[in-house]
Amino acid sequence: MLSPEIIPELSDEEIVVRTLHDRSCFEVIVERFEAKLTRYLRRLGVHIHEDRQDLIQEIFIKVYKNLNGFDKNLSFSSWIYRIAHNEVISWYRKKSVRPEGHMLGESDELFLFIPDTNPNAEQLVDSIIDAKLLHTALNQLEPKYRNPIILRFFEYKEYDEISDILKIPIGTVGTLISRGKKKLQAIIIQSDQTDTPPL
Amino acid sequence: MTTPIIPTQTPHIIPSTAVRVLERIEQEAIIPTPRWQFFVGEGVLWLIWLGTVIFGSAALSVTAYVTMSATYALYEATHENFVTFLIQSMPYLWLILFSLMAYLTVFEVKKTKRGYRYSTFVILGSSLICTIIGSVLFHAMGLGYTVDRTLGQQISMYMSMEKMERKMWQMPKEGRLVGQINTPESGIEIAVVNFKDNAGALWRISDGEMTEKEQILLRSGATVRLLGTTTSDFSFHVCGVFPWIQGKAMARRELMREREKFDAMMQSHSRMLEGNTPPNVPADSLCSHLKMMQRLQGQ
Repeated sequence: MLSPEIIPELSDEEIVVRTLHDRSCFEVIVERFEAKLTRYLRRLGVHIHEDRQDLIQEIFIKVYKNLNGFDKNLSFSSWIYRIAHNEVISWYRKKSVRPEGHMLGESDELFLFIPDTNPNAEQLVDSIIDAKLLHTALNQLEPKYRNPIILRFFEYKEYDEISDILKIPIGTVGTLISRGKKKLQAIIIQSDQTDTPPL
Repeated sequence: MTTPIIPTQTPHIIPSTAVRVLERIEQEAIIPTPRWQFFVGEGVLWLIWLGTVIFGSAALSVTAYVTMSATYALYEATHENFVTFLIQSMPYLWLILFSLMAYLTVFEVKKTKRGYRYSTFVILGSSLICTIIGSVLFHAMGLGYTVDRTLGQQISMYMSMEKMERKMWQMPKEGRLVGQINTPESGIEIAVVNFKDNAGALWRISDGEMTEKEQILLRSGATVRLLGTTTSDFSFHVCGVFPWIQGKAMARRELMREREKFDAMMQSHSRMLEGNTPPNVPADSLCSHLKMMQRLQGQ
């Protein structure tokens, strides 16, 4: 087992190498990523605590089984997020449900990136403060746009990391985020107009 | 009064995720999948990619052979126009196979470890470059011809280039015949010769409008293509003799030579229609009334 003093100095990749020789080192990986992945699962719509617990355990078991397949050209974080993402998709498939109700936490970061081209920008800003509106809008977004947006604006991942997590070219990541933002803006404007009572 | 004994409860400690994961790993004796299995998986994908590139190259080399061997030089003689010639000459089967292989290469590369990083356009482009290089090599080695001919011999339903050409030139009613002279007798002046066609039928050939070179070629005993018209049952009036070229894609120079010869023949017979009879052509020329001549006049 690693001594607690050196753990902070070791990179994820170094711990992976050590885990292959000493299984107990895997504990460090679990501790480093448990909170991040739990939050990511919530954002992907896994709301029930027990489901998240089961999924987290499955994700770490899968990570352990595939440690030898870890591509050292990737960051370990991207690799583990990819496994988590795939595991959630399989989980939804098994349950035959589609993800609903993304818990976004401090969700208004996204709106910093939405271009302020709307003539009713003030109204829009007022309405978007309501996180519910954002949740609803994000739910209406197709998964291909929703996933990169969640990773970019709520997990603060770089484009190359999103490319590695979702296994799509970097150029496509940029396109999907840009189109996703426009679509999200359109959904928000539309729902804002629908909700506004006639004068 | 005795105080009831309340059983002391030990606090229920929920083990951390790390502990539960490690316990499960131990209980189920889970071990990391060996590295070689990942290498094999990746290697198999690249082998399949290589296979598809090789097969695609072969398909493209057959396509090149068929396209380059198509009798472009004489297309007015065999087809209504250049469009119908193109439609009939396209090696659809090989083009479909080549497209399928190109699709598979993209599919395979995308599944590799880092394949997702590249756009479909980049993967398709690089795979196509490899396929084209491979097809050029195969074409230089004559693989296109070998594959086409072998399949034609082995599979009755497969229409090889040779089969198609023979079929196209074995149409006496359309003024085309393929075969060879039945009894080649060099040096003997004869006005009527027997010609055995591809179907085994014997034809009486009248060669009054043939050039000297054509007469030599016909009488050499080699397989030749004849352009002309039927005058009666199993009588054929020859207007042009062309060598039967099969087994290799025709070089551009060769193709041009054949085209020039065909053009000269057409011009000569065309002048007949305008009333200018060349000295070596009889006044009652049948060749000037060939279907293809009428087609050319109509263009």
